[in-house]
Amino acid sequence: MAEQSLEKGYEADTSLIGMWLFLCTEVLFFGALFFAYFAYQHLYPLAMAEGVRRTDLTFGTINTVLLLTSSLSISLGVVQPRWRTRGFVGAGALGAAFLVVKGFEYAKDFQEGLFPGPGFIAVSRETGPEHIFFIFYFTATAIHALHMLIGLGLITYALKGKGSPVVVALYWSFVDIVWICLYPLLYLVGRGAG
Amino acid sequence: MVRTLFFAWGGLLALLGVQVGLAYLPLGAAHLYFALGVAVAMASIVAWIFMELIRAPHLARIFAYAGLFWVMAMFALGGSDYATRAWNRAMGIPSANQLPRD
Repeated sequence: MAEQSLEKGYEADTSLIGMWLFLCTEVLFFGALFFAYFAYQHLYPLAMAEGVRRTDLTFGTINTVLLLTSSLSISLGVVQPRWRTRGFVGAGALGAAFLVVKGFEYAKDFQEGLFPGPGFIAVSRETGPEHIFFIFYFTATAIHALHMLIGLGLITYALKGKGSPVVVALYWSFVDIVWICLYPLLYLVGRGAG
Repeated sequence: MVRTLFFAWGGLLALLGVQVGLAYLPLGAAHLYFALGVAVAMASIVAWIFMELIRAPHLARIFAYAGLFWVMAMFALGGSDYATRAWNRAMGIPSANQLPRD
């Protein structure tokens, strides 16, 4: 019996450590994305600020609150086994709400001519660098949304009693961290007049 | 533990408020650093409390620190190029992409 529970402990530790190792590779993947942002920011500070002023702060901030709350919900599901289902369903629902808001935001972005390409409407003479901001914006948010979809899949999987809920929660909160880092770069830096 | 989670969430929302407020202050170029500072604080709260890094096995923590270290090495080495280009310009030395080609 003791041996069995010892093995179970090792198994839990191994899957936890395995997820952290995977997240370590994700840090490097997103690190490259953020590095590109800093290079653009260094080269074209004015066009990047112009881009930030054209993103929708309300949608972005609502989505940040949704994700922070979904991380709380999934963490409550992890620490309180009797809240597991509620915590995970709550996190999934808030995550889905995030994607719906993002969908509305994309629709508005398209309408305002923010999608890079022939229909892009620039507001300054720096057309190229203004494009670069929105190429970054759409690439980063699309990759993030893809991670959210995978996260929703994992939550469904965990709710069916498969896999390790703790590991799923780790992934979910990591995707939250990525958004926490993206949010100021896409919506805040350069918004004010100064 | 449950109470800690709610406190962490409250702290995150407060920091988000600070971040939005900072966006409208005339901080100029320093705004990037202020905004990133708050973002790092928020990410740390999520990693330490929500992701329970504070109670994680040592190997998991080593992976977390290793990822952070590697990404910082990439930023330092890649960023040093952009950071030092102005020095060349100040001394009248053309940067690599402005050198005449044979």
